[in-house]
Amino acid sequence: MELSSTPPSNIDPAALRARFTALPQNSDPADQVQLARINLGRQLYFDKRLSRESNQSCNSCHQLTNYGVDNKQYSPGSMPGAIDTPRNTPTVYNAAFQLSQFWDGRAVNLIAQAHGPLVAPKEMALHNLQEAVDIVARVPGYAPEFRQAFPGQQDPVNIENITASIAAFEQGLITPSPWDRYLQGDTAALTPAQKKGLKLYLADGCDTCHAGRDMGGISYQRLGDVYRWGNKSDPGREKVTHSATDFMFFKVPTLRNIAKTGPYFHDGSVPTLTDAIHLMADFQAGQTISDSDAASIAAFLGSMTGTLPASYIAAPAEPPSGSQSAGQSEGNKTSSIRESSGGRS
Amino acid sequence: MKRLLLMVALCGLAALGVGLALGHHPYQGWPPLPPTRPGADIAMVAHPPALVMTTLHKDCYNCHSDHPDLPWYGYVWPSSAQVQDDIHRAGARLNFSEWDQLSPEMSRIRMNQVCTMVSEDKMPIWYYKPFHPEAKVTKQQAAAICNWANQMPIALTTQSASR
Ligand code: HEC
Ligand code: HEC
Ligand code: HEC
Repeated sequence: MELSSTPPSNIDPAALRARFTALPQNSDPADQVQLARINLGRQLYFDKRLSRESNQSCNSCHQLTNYGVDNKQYSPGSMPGAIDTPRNTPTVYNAAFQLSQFWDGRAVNLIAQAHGPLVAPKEMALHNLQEAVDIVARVPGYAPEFRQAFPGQQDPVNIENITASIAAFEQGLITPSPWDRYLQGDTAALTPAQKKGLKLYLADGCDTCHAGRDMGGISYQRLGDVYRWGNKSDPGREKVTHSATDFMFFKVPTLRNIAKTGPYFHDGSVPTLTDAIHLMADFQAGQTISDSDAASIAAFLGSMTGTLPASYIAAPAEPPSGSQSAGQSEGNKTSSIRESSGGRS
Repeated sequence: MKRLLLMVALCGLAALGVGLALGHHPYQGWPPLPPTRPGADIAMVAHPPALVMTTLHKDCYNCHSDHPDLPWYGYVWPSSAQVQDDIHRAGARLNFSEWDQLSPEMSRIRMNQVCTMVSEDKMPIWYYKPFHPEAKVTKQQAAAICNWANQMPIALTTQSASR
């Protein structure tokens, strides 16, 4: 039902730009230091040695050739038998534009975020952050790269620089899509079916929360805003702010590449996009919508499936673990380093 | 259709209700009740100019705050169901008392919508105005809101967005 107050579903790109913003194109920075940082970050992102069993990198869960996710409800961690992560793995693509990181926003930015998975028992499961530094320091190939990326620093191999490099790399994970071309004025970029979906998206008030450059990621909202959501086992942002008013508040996720990043919601409980849209319309917008409307909205959301930056995300050669340093100590870790670099494809 | 029914119901009720109910439930939009979390209010988070803030308080907080205040016809059948549902929806869509939940980018988007609503005289919601003539937003107030909205910063780079 449209009230007289509801803004007309004007889908003229110029009008839409008050609420939505096209993604920039990613290009390599002119600054050589920044470029070195990005290259280093890419290597760390793909390096499995940064996990307890040397079997897991960031890319194991956030697979870059797969829109930054693994399509599992919960991702398995580094430790065999370790309980699964309690939340669905979000995409790392376009994550830099969000107001914070994680479903509950507990990391203020990508640098703060990158500390988390290295030591999370259910993820890469290192004992502490110093272990990550030690692992990197034992790989001779990394030393010149750190010097290049952080020139003038006495001892550049430290946790701040590791996380800053990973974050620098993640900032280039951007996926421009037909939706961005449409916003920039190319009205042929959306199919008629997608334009119909866009009108419904606006009429149903999805843009109240899913707006901006990322189609989300710029506010916290209560899950079950109009009607109460069933599964309340995860309190969301309340755990971060310790304020009862934040119970069941989550960061509104980005809808970019959403057709590819199922299953949906923080608990990964909903396998299909059309089901997710039905639930959103009911619980967040307070409207029941027909199956054909949900399908139209899904078609529109498909226009946000972007082009993956193929050369930017090509897996780099792993800096070799030096044979001398590996020979010096007999610990399990060194041997697993040797195995993993040997088994690398 | 629903809208027509509501309009008819309201007209009928208006005459009967005004004298009787106004006393029982006086208009409380001004001054507004203090917010539950003062630091989270738009006044504290975004520091709008005084004219903008008084306009929002006077004309919008009755529905778009954490102390929504039902008008008397929100208690009287048959308008009550629609009005209560509306108030609930209004708070879910735009809540000036929870501004800390928004990034600068979203803060600007919301204020742009507010600007559109008041410039096109679409808010306060249509059935509210006859009963609350004091809640009319003047051209000058609308201009102040739009000027401020247009000056709000918008994050343009990944660097500043991930700051
Ligand atoms: C075992 C799987 C796993 C691994 C390995 C992993 N992550 Fe994650 N990642 C997750 C899960 C699950 C979340 C959501 C957790 C939450 O919100 O509480 C997440 C969240 C994130 C986010 C926040 C995205 C958003 O939209 O809020 C970023 C960024 C991220 N991870 C980057 C990384 C980086 C960088 C690494 C490597 C250092 C990494 N992840 C390793 C599973 C993983
Ligand atoms: C009041 C705010 C609000 C509105 C309105 C809203 N959403 Fe959401 N949306 C959210 C939040 C919060 C989540 C994350 C829920 C969670 O914790 O899993 C979400 C999640 C989603 C997801 C799953 C994303 C993922 O990565 O798993 C989809 C798809 C979605 N919304 C689509 C829509 C559509 C389509 C509409 C309009 C019918 C809509 N939303 C309206 C707040 C909103
Ligand atoms: C009597 C209650 C009432 C008052 C007073 C009121 N509104 Fe609203 N407002 C609503 C309702 C109900 C909705 C939701 C309409 C819908 O869902 O279609 C709404 C929606 C909005 C929206 C759209 C939000 C979105 O995401 O779509 C904006 C913007 C808005 N109001 C601005 C204002 C402003 C500015 C004022 C003060 C000048 C104001 N309102 C006063 C009831 C009210």
